[in-house]
Amino acid sequence: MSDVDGGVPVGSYSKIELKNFSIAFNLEDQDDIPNIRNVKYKSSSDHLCCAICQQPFIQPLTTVCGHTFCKECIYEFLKVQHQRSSRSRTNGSDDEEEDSGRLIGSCPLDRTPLDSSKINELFPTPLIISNLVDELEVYCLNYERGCEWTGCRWELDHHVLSDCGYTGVACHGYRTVDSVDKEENEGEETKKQTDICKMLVERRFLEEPRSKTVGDGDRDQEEYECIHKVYECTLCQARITKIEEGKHLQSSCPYNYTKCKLCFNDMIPMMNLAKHEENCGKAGHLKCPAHEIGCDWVGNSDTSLEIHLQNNNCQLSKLLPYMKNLNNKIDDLSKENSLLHRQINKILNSIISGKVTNLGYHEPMEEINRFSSELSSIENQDKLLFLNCELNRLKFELDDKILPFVNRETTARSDRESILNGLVNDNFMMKDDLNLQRALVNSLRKQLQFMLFKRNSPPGLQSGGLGGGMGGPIRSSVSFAEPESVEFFDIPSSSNSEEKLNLKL
Amino acid sequence: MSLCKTRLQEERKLWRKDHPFGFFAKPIKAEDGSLDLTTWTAGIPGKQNTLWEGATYPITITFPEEYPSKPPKVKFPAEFYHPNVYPSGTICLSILNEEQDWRPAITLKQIVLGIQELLTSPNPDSPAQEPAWRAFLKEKDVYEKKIKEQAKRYISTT
Repeated sequence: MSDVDGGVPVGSYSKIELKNFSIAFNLEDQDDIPNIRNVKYKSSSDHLCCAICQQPFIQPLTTVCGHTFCKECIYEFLKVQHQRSSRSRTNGSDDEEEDSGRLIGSCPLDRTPLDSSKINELFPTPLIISNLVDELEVYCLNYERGCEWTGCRWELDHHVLSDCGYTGVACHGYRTVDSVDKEENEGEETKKQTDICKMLVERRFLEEPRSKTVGDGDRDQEEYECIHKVYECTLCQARITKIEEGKHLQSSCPYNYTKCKLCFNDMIPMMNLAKHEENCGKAGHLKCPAHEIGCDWVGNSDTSLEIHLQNNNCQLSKLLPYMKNLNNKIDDLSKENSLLHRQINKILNSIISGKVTNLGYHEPMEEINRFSSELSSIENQDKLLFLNCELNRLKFELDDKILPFVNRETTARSDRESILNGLVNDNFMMKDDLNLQRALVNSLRKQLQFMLFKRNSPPGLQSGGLGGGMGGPIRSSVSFAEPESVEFFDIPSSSNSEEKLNLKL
Repeated sequence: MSLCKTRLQEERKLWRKDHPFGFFAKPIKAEDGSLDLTTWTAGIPGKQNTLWEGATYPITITFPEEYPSKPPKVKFPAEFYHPNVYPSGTICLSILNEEQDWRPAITLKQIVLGIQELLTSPNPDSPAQEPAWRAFLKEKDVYEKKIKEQAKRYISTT
């Protein structure tokens, strides 16, 4: 008759253990994080699988040779390789260089040398890949306990941590324990002691508020009794606990009667209801099509059903299409709502894990906050207004006063530039003239010297020269070439100084 | 669950999904009835039209804790007659050697196919046992006779 061992007395605590499967998740500590390595995938692609663990990537890293592995896998592999190589190295020579974190090895697929400390040899995979693996459909970690949830991998954390009713949590209910068997105090017969249950139960068995106050506020917890406490079923006196209550009433309590809606027999145990209704249906009992929204009519034949539906007998059946519409809409909306919920969670998660940085702002988040808080204070807003006015004034001044001046200046400058060009040209022309003049002057000087020489020469020679015709002066000029050349040497120096003068002009 | 265990579960899944014809491989059952994923038994069929045909050679595969970073250890029964099998039964194969060609990406399927290949084409450069190696190099007829005898011992049940 009873579900629990007959020997378990009422008021004691049963020792029902939480069914533990290899991958099922228990939230024993606030910091427990579900291990997605254990997840069962609904769908997967070979291309998204790590060559080391043969599972879809988890926190993938890509190598310089283009291969992608899970972070854990590739580090584990490099560690083993590193250990081996350093062992063989220390065997040969006793050097103990051990940079922690730096692992040197080779790619598990093509043996390209890898150094984990070099970001260009082992770097995070492009987001598109990690997003693709995060989108893969998975089953709930607690599926072996009966959770039917499926969804994207990135949603799993949120689901098991806060939604899934099959996640194991500590009961934390208060137990009252008789301390008779411990120390017997004189005077007091039995002292009631309280104790906190530490056994794990599936979260769905706990009342809603308790799961939220786990760990904080002892007062709150006192209100809850340990759900492992055994009590008697009010109907059949079987000994049950809260954990088994629902199942017991549904499927094994023989006195949990309900009423069959077809034959009005109210002595049908819940456990037999489904079978009974099936039989009733076979026996010709019919329900009104509107029974879903509350019409209690039942009949024995099709004709009576027709009569029921005609003549406004059944108002509810008229509402049926409308209600169905509403239901569909509600379904759609709740689906959409849950989708939005998930998306918000995803965005929040990605912000926490740093995938989306600052939502497109250039500054770090804190900067933005600081700035906006400054802007919001009234004093600063006044200052800002003043600064704005000042800026406008300055702009006006620049436009009206300074710009025309600047324009005038530029035209004047271009004028002056053209004048200067003219002057430079003139200068060149004058220089040419000057050179011409100088050549003339030089020739004149030569002539003058020649004439002076002629005048100072002895008369005899002059007469001989006359007799000798034109041969005389030529000969003389040859014979007196030396003293003349001394003078000639002076001329270039003087002309040099002249040239310098010219250049200065 | 450790990396080793998850990988082995994946291997099991992969094997059940698809494996080469004539082969079998399964984890052994521990005493309490649960599966011990770290030790597998497998059968390698000899290739058709070779000395080895008609028999399925049993192997035991032991996966170390560091698998897949380290290769599994694969053994034939002791005294298995093959130039590259140690007297203890351990197989000398480059893809099963951590120092040589082992890569974590090598799957169980590749391992068993590699062993099947090794049966028919031994590597005389890395002998692991004296009698088979000597016979393989010098006395072909003795070698062939021995192999055929061995094939009869491991004759396929199917």
